Amino acid sequence: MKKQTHSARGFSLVELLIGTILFTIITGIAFSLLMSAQLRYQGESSVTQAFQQANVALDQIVRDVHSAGYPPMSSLSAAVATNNPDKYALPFAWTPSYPGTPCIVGSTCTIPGQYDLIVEADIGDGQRVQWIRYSLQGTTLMRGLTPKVKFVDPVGATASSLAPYLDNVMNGNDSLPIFAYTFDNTTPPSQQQPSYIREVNITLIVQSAHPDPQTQQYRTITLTGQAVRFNPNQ
Amino acid sequence: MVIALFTLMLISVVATALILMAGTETALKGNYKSAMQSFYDAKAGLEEGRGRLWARNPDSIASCLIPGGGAMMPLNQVCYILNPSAGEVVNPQDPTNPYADTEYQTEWGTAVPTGAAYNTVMSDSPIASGNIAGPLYKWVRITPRTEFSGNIDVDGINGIDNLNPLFFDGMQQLLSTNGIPVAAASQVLTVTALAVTPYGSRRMVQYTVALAGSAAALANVPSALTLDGNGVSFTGPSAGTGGRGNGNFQIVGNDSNAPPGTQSGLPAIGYTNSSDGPSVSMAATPSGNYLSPAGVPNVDLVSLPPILQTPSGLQTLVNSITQSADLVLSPPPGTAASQNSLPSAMSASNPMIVVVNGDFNLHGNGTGYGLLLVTGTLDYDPDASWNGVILVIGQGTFASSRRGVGVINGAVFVAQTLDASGNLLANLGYSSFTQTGGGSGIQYSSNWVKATQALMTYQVLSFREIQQKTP
Repeated sequence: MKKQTHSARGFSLVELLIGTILFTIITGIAFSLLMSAQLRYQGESSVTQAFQQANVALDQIVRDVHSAGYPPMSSLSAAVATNNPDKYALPFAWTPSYPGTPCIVGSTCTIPGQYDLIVEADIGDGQRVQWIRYSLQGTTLMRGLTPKVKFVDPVGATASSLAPYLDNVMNGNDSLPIFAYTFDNTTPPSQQQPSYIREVNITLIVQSAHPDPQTQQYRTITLTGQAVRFNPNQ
Repeated sequence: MVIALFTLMLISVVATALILMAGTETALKGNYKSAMQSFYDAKAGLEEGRGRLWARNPDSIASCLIPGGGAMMPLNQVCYILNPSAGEVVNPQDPTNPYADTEYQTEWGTAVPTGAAYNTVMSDSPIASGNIAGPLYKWVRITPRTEFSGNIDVDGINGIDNLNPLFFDGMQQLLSTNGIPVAAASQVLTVTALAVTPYGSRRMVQYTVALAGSAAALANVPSALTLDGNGVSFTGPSAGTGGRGNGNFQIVGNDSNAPPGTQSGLPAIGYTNSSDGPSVSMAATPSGNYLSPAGVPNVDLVSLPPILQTPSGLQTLVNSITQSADLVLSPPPGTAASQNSLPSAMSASNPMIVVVNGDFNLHGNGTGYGLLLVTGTLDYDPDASWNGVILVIGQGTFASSRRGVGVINGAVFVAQTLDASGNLLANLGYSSFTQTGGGSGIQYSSNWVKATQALMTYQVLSFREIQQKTP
């Protein structure tokens, strides 16, 4: 009788153990890398979302400043304009003393300020001339619209209309102004009054809504933009 | 084998995530870029429209605005500047066209007019010879402006309608009546532009424009030399200053461009505060040096349009002229710009607008042409001549103590609106005109005044963006 020569023995227990351990280690590494990629994706998504929201806010501020001062006082006859200041728009409202003696931006003005701005414009939404206010409260940039009312303080009038517009704005914490202004110098001497603001330079420092899952640190992005007022001085 | 599969899977997942993120960011930035591009394309359209309204523009669209000629654009008239891309049809009239003008219906309550009321010209932005594409706006529309189209009750009476065009007098918009243009004012026009980028971003923006207020003001120059303000002073050369090397000083209100055999013109000197009459009249001697047409006083109280009556109005005028200026000089405080800074291209056939924010020495032996606005002191050496209008608005000081034979053909206007520190006065101050050395004086010329008026461009009265929905 011919003896079988090929081996029919299986894996030994040791081989199985080693194989299982190797498989577990490799699988573990693979899944930990997958998890890491997943966490990084979540972190990036959070930053992207913050970027997108900040971008929308920045674009809206730019659009509002573009239209600041529409319609101007010269759109009306002088007699009508004198008695109906709610029918035309100054480019920017101010406090204190609105609509009396204009304050000096960066000095006597509370608004326009580094974190607070009130645009006057008819933005074509059927509400006529409105006060459009941006105000940083804590880490939330608020936005509010209310129809302009003659001989009324715009700060008080807009207070109740403010609603959260952009969260996690860190400019206040970093002491970095959201709004900075440049002025026309065509009226001598150069007076830094709200009506002569020509450009609003906007800086938004926005923090992601969630900490980075890997580092547990919040990530911030900085967006800058420049908005030009196209309506002429009044 | 298993290791290789897992590694491959891992790399695939990471790569997919990276591609997704990069794609999202690219899309975000692409959208933003496209939106910005369409805005500035539309803005470029507005500027082309505004620029081509100017009568001196080589590509003026005057015949598109007012095909039949006349003083103002008829209410039912519309002019489009079309700017289709290659192989594209832009038809604002056609509601099925992707670039249909739906805003017209909102502003006028009717569809875009047809027939003779609808005129088009092509954009001149693309430069075919250089194969340079222009901005991607699709059309620019120019219409008259009414209370209804602007959605503003300008006069506060009887609501808004589309019956009468609006006019601008340099300070305010005014409603005309019965189709008669408002005196000393220019018609307000609306310029609207639509831009659409290849990525589909749509932006529509709108100007209201009118000829610069200075154009209307210049049309109403009341005298050869106008001293605007309160407590004004005039000092002319004493008798006998003429002679060799010096002109026979005169201020002449007779229009040098009056048809032969006829007389027309203005007072030689005009003042605006009646209490200044005696002192000016007394200084304007010998009387033979101050001439005006028969029946018109040589020295007279004159009335001015509102924009010339207040410091703020005159400041608006200065700002408006500065917007149209060919050259703006700003000499450092304590120094004066000189005639050497005047543009060499300035000539009788190419008059210009020169604004000097500060003091200016008009010396030398040359001749200037156009509009000269000086906000500081104008020091005039009458070796030089000027054809056009000289405005000294600001410090309001015209000083001349030298000899010469130069003459100013046109008109001179002097007003003090600023104090010594440059602050705007509450009321007009005491402007002064002093020419003691001689020279040939001032000769009123209606043609040069008109030529200067024609230099004024259309100024922007207002800007707005009209929200768009993608059709």
